[in-house]
Amino acid sequence: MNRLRVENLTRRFDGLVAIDDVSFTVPIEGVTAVIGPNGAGKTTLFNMISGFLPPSEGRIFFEDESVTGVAPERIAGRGLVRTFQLVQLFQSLTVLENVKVGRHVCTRAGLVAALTRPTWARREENETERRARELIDFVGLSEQSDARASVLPYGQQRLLEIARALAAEPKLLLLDEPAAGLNHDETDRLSRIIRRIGEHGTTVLLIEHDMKLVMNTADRLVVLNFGRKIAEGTPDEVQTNPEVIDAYLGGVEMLHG
Amino acid sequence: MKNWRDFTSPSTCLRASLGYVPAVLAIALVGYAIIAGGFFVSLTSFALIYAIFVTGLNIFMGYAGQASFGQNAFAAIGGYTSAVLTTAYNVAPVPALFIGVVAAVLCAVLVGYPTLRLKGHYLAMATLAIGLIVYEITVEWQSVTNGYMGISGIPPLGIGSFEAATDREQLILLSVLVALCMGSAWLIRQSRFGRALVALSGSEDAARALGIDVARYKLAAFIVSAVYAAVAGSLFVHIVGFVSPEVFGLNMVILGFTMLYVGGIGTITGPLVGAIVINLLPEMIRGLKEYQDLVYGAALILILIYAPGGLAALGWSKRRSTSPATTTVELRGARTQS
Repeated sequence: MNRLRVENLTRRFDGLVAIDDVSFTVPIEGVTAVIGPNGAGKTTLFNMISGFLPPSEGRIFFEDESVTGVAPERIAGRGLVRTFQLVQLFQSLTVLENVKVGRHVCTRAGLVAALTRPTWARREENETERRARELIDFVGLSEQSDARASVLPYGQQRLLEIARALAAEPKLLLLDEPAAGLNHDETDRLSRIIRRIGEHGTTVLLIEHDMKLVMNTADRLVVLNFGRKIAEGTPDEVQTNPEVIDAYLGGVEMLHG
Repeated sequence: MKNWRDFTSPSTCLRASLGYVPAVLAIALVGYAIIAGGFFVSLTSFALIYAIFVTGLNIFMGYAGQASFGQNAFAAIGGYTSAVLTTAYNVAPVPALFIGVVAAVLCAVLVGYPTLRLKGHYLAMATLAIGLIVYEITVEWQSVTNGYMGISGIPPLGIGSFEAATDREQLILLSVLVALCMGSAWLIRQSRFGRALVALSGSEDAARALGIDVARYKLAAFIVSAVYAAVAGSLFVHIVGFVSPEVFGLNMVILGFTMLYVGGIGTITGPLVGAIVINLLPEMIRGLKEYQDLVYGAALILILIYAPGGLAALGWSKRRSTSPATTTVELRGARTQS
């Protein structure tokens, strides 16, 4: 069984083909990265996998069950949770509350439970609080837990978004350019965090521009160029693939990695 | 302004307690009205009824970040149901109130299901239409509503043989109900349900990506706000003893919005503070005669400049959690958070 299988996925915007007949699988173990130059269709691919964009053709299987055309909230309920390229925090909530919202799919208290506060709901809320604090600790934001999300520096906002996604206990975590806007140290720290997430039984699929992060973090790569898959394999295999080097303008970006 | 807010040391404590001042003053005023009686009582009664109405509005607008210009429709449904059932059918006030609430909930579901898929201005226009439609019904359905003449002789609120007939009894009853309504709003805000509402107001995409069924939660918030509005409408007709279409006109929406922003959108005590300020302010400046409207307008502008998050958010600092929402809804766009 694979965590995720994408079959002949195609997405057209009017005349433009953003994703063209892409197929690949994401195994249960480890960290997989989708890389490719700007405009290669990476985010379009993510939007389709997470249900935000219906594919024009092709199918998506999450744990061998089709999630093609399923609404994002239902996909999240099945254990596939994503983050966004432009961080999408709940700005008016605190750091702690943001992560608590992440527990939504793992909890069930509704309006009636909110008003009557039965024992099970109080217990659930305590558990939510405990798990949220654990995750805030995991990404190193304990000191900021009562701050509003909007006041955090950008790097910490990224970490908060990851903690919030982890709160949903996803089986597959999709990270859309998690290192964008981060400095050197922050990228290193992020890389370690992603490794640890992968080691704790959560499959990670990430889109990344930052080659350093990708080479240090990913076990497997899928390379896109102009909407097509041009290579797939371990970082070493991909790095020596001539088509990949060509796609990255003679390998300039790769060499920097 | 910015520097003043950014001070941390001794002023932090002072600033934190500043947030409670408007709420404490509002409660003290209600207490004074109960003890002193007289002219203050009816004024405070209206303020308390509006506090319930605005608490509901706050759940839909302040928490969930959606705009509704049609809340008066639900107040009208609650109010007219109570009025008709208690006068023409001899139903007791409490069952009549519950029937009114159920009718408002049904209407909210019927209207909310298709319109809540709309966003921003479109949702606002759709809800505005609902308010106008219900208003027209109250005018035109003369056999039931008696048209512009309205319905009089509505009995005061009571349970069984007890009737809150005197002004003071009514005020005490209203105070208890306001406390219940605000308490439940607080419980909602602290819960998984309330967090989901504030989350979707911040980012619908992120909320969906975390498994929150945004359409369902918006509808739930709309229904809850309709319940508050219907209760407020029902209480209103029992306190006044009379109802006509004008009572639940568009001015009710405008007043509600003003109270919400002056009091503090997204805060717990804001609706009460706003309702009391907006009800008392015109009375306090009545002596100014022709300058009254000018001073009223100027006072509102000053409040919104120096307390952009509303009076109840005065002591709010960036590190506190029960802060007003700052995102979404074009209406809030102009507000700045220093």
